[in-house]
Amino acid sequence: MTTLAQSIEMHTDWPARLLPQAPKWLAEFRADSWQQALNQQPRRFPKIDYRDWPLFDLKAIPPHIDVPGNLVRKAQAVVILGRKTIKIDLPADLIAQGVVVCDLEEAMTTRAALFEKYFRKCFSNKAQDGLALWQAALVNSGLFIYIPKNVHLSSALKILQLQDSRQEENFINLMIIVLETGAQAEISQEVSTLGDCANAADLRTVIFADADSTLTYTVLDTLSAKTSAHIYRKSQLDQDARVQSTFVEMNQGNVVSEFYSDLLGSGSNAETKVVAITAGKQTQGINTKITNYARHSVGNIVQHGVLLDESKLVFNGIGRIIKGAHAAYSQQENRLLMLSEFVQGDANPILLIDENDVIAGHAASIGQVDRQQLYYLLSRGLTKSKAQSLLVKGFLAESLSEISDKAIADYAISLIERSLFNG
Amino acid sequence: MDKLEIKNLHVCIENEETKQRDEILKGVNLLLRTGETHAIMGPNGTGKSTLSETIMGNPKYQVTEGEILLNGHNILQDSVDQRARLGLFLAMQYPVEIKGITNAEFMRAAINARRPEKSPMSIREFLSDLDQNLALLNMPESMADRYLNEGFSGGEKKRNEILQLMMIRPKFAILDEIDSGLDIDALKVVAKGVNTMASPDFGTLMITHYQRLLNYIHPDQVHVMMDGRIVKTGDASLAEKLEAEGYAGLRDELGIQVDLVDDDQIPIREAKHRDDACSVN
Repeated sequence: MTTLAQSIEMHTDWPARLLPQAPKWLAEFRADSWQQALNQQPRRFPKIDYRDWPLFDLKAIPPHIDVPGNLVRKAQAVVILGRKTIKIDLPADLIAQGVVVCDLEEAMTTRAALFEKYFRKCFSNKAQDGLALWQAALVNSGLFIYIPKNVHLSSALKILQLQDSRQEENFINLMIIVLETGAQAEISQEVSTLGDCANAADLRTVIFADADSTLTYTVLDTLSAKTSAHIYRKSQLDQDARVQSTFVEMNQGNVVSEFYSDLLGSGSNAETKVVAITAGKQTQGINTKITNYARHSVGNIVQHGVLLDESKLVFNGIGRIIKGAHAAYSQQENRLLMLSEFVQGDANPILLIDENDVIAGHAASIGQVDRQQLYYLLSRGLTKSKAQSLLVKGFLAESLSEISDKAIADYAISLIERSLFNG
Repeated sequence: MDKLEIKNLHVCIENEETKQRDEILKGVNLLLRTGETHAIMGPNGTGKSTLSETIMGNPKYQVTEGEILLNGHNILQDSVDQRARLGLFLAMQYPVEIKGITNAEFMRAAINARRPEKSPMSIREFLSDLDQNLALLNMPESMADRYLNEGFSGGEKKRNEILQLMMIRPKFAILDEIDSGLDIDALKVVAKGVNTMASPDFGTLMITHYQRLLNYIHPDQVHVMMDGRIVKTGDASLAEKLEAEGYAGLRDELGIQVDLVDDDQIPIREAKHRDDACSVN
């Protein structure tokens, strides 16, 4: 394991090596971030000590990437393997309307001004944050998605993103999603691992939802047991914008995740649902935070988690209402279901309210399978494992039932069943 | 012909207030064969629901003595789900609500639990069966897609228990006060569902307070339970007699020393000493 400071000391030229074709402003931005990172510690996560995870080990950059022939599936418009973009298939009518879906290398050359504007915004808070500095300096892959004013995507944009762990390699990925005023889109993303090398993954998604825009964003994360990961996904919402996010966390390794929404415009609305299952000896820590900066803004957090074996899962739900956000609304629910006596679970609702005329509330629970419910299912002949599986599905249904991408919902359910039967 | 036999059954339950174990069943004997319909009647607090839950294997109830034999096999060591797959079904007095699991999904899982893993019931066959049974019970098709008992009225829950019974088709059904909370129309519908099941391969044990259920499901035998025992067995006319005279009359006729918790005409007697069986085990 290497610390952040050790990595910086040992690899001074690293940012330049990762994106050698970066324009001058970006090269300088990255080099500067790398230097600043020397003076910053990775910030702490409540109840999760991830500092001894191998998140900051830098691996040699493999010169060549083999692409297996079976990766490309028709349903997915975008397929990315590690640093390599394998497929981007956007309908011609969307291209004609100005929709952009491209990797970072293309964005920094063909959409230079637009890309620079949003890239800088993605890291506007980096000065106090060692993890953001690390990502800003070392991003080696990613996507830029831009939906112009009033353009509506008629079908979901499906993205498959694979960490390439067929060899040792860092996966430091940035996705920028921009919805201009009145734009509407549905994006579903599957993030997984190919191969079984022990690697770190650092994923950052930043969504800019301009006024009156709407985004339904679903992500299924299934990173491998040998992947230690830091995931950061943030939405910034302007007036009357709406972002509905569902994050299904079925990773098998140790992961800290941050799911943040900033309600910057009046009437903006963010709904974040998280479904997580932990198994084996893994640890997952999830901070989900919605900050109401604006009047009449609405934030909802629903987090449901299931713990198996000897795993640890921490939900921190944070609702923050800033002074001046009159008539803001903030609700959250954090629930954990423990299926083993050896697990550790934390469900921490946190409300930070600086304004008076607001509505805010929270619910939290940690419990085991309801004995009466289990008895009822057993009395109909279901085996204990099948009965538990059904009860867990029922427990998670509130979040899973609203996933509009049926393929992702079905896959998530099949993974849940597999986890339970293996457990 | 299948046979469910209960021999000298003694059962305890932990009293949540005193943390002591109270003996509820004190030597129950009963023989039920497929093709037969039996009714157990008795005043409140006499052990009828304890008997039904014990047969099903509810872990809250501890058997301290006796046997429950299904075709000669003692099922006391079998888990709840094993007993269900052996052919027992308990229509519960208070079915739980389970959010997130649809009725149809649950019933299909229950049916397939009884079949080899590689040959589950086809969706077509399942839906055909389901439609037929929903229609028979005057239940709308939408009930299949609702979450299990969630937000169901008392009557809907009872119908749903019978719907499961009809879908699963066990050898023996124990109906624990299936008539409670039903108006007369709903009672007729539920009874129709149970009567549809009648066959030489199916036996019913009804637990009820009232004669009125027996007007619609005719029992071959009526058993009266008091103070944890079956104190009298007869034909359907026994239930009519009870309806006319009440349990106090039978108690006094048989000379049983027991308080009837809902009987305001009889002075409360002094509490009897409990059997030692529970405190020993």
